[in-house]
Amino acid sequence: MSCLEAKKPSLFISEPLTTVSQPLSLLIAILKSCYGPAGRLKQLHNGVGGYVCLTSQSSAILGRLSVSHPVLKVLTASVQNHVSRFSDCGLFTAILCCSLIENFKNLNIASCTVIKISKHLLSLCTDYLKSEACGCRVSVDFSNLETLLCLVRSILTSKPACMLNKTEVDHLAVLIVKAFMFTVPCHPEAKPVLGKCVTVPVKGRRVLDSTVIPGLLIETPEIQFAKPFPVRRTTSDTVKVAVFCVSMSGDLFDPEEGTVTVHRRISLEMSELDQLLNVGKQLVNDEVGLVVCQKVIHPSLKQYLKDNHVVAVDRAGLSVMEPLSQVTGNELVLYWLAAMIYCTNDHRLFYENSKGVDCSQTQYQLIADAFCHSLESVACSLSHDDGEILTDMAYGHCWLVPSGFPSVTNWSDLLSKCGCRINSSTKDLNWRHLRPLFGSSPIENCPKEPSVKVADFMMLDCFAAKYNGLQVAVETANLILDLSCVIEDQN
Amino acid sequence: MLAMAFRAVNSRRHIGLQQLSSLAWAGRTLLGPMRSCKFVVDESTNESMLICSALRLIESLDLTSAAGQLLNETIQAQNKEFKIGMSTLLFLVGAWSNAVLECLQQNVPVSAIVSVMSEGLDSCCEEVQCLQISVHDVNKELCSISVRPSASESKASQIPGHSSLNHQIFLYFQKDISASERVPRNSCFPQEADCNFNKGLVWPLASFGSVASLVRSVDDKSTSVVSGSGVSASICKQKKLTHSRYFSTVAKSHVSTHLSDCQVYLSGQSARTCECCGLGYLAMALSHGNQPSVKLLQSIVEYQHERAECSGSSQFSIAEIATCCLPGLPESYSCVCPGFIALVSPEQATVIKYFQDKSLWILLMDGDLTEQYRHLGFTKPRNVKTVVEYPSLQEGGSRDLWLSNMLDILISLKVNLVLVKGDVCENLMERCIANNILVIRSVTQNVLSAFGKVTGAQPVTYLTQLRAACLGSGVWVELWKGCDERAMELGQLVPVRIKVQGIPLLTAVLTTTVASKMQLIEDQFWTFVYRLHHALKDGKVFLGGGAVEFLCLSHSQMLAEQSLKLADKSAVKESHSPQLAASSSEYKAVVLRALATGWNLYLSVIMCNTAKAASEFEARTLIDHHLQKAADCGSPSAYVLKEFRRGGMFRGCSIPSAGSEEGVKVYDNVTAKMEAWRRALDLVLLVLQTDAEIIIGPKRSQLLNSHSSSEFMFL
Repeated sequence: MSCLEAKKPSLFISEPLTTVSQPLSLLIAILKSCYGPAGRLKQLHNGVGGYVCLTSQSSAILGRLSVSHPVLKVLTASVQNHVSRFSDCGLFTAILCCSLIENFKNLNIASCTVIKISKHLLSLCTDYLKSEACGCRVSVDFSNLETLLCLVRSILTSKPACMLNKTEVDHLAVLIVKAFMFTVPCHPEAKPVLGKCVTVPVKGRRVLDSTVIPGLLIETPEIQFAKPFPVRRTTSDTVKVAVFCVSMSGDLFDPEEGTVTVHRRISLEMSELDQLLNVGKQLVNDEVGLVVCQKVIHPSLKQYLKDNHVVAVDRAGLSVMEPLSQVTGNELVLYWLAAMIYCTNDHRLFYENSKGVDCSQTQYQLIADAFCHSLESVACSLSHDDGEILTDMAYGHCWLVPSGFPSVTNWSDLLSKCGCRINSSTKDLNWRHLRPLFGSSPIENCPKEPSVKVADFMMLDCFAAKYNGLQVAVETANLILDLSCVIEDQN
Repeated sequence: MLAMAFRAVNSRRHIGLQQLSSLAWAGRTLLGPMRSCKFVVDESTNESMLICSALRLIESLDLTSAAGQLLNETIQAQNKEFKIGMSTLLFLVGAWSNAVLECLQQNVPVSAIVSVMSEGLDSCCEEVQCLQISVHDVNKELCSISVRPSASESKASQIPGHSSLNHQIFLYFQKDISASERVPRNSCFPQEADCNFNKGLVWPLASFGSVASLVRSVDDKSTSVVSGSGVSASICKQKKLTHSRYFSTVAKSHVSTHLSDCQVYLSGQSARTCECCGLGYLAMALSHGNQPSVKLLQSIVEYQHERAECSGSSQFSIAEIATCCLPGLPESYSCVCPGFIALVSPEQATVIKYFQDKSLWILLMDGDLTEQYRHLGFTKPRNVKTVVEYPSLQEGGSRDLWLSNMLDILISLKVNLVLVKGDVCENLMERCIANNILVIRSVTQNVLSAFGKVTGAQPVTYLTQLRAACLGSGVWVELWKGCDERAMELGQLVPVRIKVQGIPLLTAVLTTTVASKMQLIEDQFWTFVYRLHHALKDGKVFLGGGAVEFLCLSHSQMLAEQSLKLADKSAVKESHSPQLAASSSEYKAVVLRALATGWNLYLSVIMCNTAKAASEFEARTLIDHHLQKAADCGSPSAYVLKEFRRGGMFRGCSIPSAGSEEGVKVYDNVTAKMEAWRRALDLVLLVLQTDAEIIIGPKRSQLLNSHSSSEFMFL
């Protein structure tokens, strides 16, 4: 008997932005404290002794948080979407987006104006980032691995929860670059296609035991009573492989509704098993030497295959299914390559009068300030030990001062390298504090282009991910500012 | 509108680190070779258990806090990979948590603590490489000791420094031993039989009276929170208390005159000096004073060595060792037997009489032997209704049908013996007994594998799969007889021995009259087996007795001094920013000293536990004295080596030898130890870097209504 429940009416929430301040500031606090190589970790758990997730990664945090405010739902969904595409710069995107909402909300300027101008500012930023004059972009020299290694090392060191020491970071960086090199085809065709890299996590082993193996590694449960037997081979001495993504455990189909009535003398399980054994017979007839099943294979079928010298691997998992079908002869999937990389720790600031935007000079100034302060606040969240953050007036790069030096007049003496370690400090540099709360005088001219020479200790970020993150943040903030009501389906 | 609770962690008085430190404090007496045991009492069932390892302790503690959960995971991970080093790990977690809290008090930035601590440990690990010695060299060295004439009459296999106390121990125990429990001359480890008798009794003396603390559990788990000073514990309900007092009655039946050929064979082996096989000596050096296990392991090593010479297999194979716990028998009954020894019910034991002197067919099953059991990954269908045409058929029900079907399969293939990995249906068990089929449940995977290899049996999951080709043959079953050649019945269970010609499997029979010690004895035995296993796997060992930790202490102190000097020196002016360099050097010194504190505490607690020092103060004075001497010597590592050779500070804590000045040299595992350090430090640093707990799931709404809701922020 089923019970019908009356549908609940939808919930109408008007002006969702008015109630978002408190949860937004909490979310921003969580995200900011996670940012950067010195970011703090979060323990996510259910409070009753369950599994503890220790992380500072945006995908892990946002994936587990169940935010209920509609505005935050929009925000996290949009960041997660970015992360699912680029696997990088999630925290940057989230923090920038939150800051933009916070700063714009306090302006008391009509949202349509804010949106228009922020779009314009975004286009200025993206144009600059793409231009040749961009002072924070490094092009990759593929004749030399140094830049790629720098990029990988920067990403690895920004994950404090991994607890990697320098040797381990170097080892992993080399492996990752090596794995990438393996994906580049030896004989370039008209339309070169990169190969795919599969990660197999092995628990309980040391980081330095990690390795790159050409081909596909499939984990199997310990092969019992392992007496290696000769695998069936075809006449051309290759092994035929059959891949199953459905369960072969002999489960019955599960009727959603209704009941199946069976005579007692008929065993559904046995008939199901007979079907499986028929499949097995077919496989043996087809000279298959290796059967890989994503799920479980029935022990009887396994026994049958083994007796016929067919290797059966079950519980292979979803992650190897697609690569397996590739290895065994299907088409390769295009692997996207981030070729452009730019410096992570500085954010270019621009002020420019625009034509064609309908607003007063003051309004424009206010919105542009809010935009810049949002960018600055991302940069500021790199510091976690109460240290100062400075920017120089020549390059516009970001400089981190360790805590314990409250006000030194001559910063040039204290600081040697900027955050991304491209620029060295010189006596003639002028400094200002980066404090998102206080408006401060901007750089008057376009920043100088540093003489970029890639060294092995530089901090680099993936250009494409950051570029996209910037756009996602601004566009999501604009979307949220534009929300006037939320209708929630409560069923 | 609230979906998540959030608690910020105070950075100066880090809650997580405090939790770690207080949890770890409970384990400080478990450190070192002379560890004190703890009674874990479950107040709800009044059952108690004697524990002696960090793993058992952590299983018994209330770990609902996030930090506790992480600690548990870390210890479980170490256990999974090494089975040893958990106590070291637990202790260092506590020591370094406290040290890091001190650093926070001195306003050292978190990032500086993290980087300097882990670099410091890496540097220590490199420094102590000079204290590694290859297993080959250990064997040579120990063999050279053994050929020296010993004060005792017995030959080289006699453990140095053993005989002097034997007599005393013998007297001590004599009054407790009834005539019926006298160990006969022809026992498992005969050197001189009397001497052997004494040795078998060394163990109780060593472990009696060492029960130091009682960990009480609290009925209501929710109230048992970790406080600053104490930790409350509770036994997990699912824990198998294998040594309930009902097991401890010793009945003497089944007295048999059969000679146990295999045991005699083994005894003959252990009586020889074993120049051929240095592993026995290595085992002794790794035993850290656990004499009864040494004897058992030496027997195992010799037996396996013998096999390895014949078959060319590996020297020491951990997969070919099983244990059988027999609570209720005196510890002198402990021995090693080829084959597999299992406990069965008296009803099943009657089947064995029928088997006498008969070669049997064996079946291996890798699941449960019940009607309901299905292999992993099989989901039972819902919504399936069975119809029956003739109600009369239903009389016995489908259950009987299954029973008779299964029995038919077993009988038709003439199966005599079934080893089942999981559980067995009681009714089927009864029917099998009636048909003279012996079914043994809860058999471990490695035992199944060993029987599979040697008999050719292939394991099946269901009896319906069974074909004649899956069966193995050539198996013999008999009642197990102790070293006095009597079969025995222990309360409700009877030990039986299953053997096959040429089976590499060995069963260590572990006995004790103190039922609550059973788990502890088994744990200690395995710890020791794994120590030898890892030593051979590494191919090298560390100088033991605290030598390695002492060098770490001395090294980290030296690093701290260096960075202090650097802070003062004008040399830093050469660097770009002298101020920055000076300040970071100062931080560095503070953090490195914190790292050293951990080693210092470790050494002093071990010295107290082993009674090398009467108090922590005395221990520290002694350590400082040696540190000073090491510094004066110029090369601390050379000093440590010298002290170790001399048998000074780092001597073993076994009973000192009567004949020679030298104490017993002890060695430690290399990889397991260094991994334990690294894991301990990683855990502390991870918790240090945590600034907030985020509580997700249903607990959030409870928090919202609870009195502590002010501590939380809700998203």
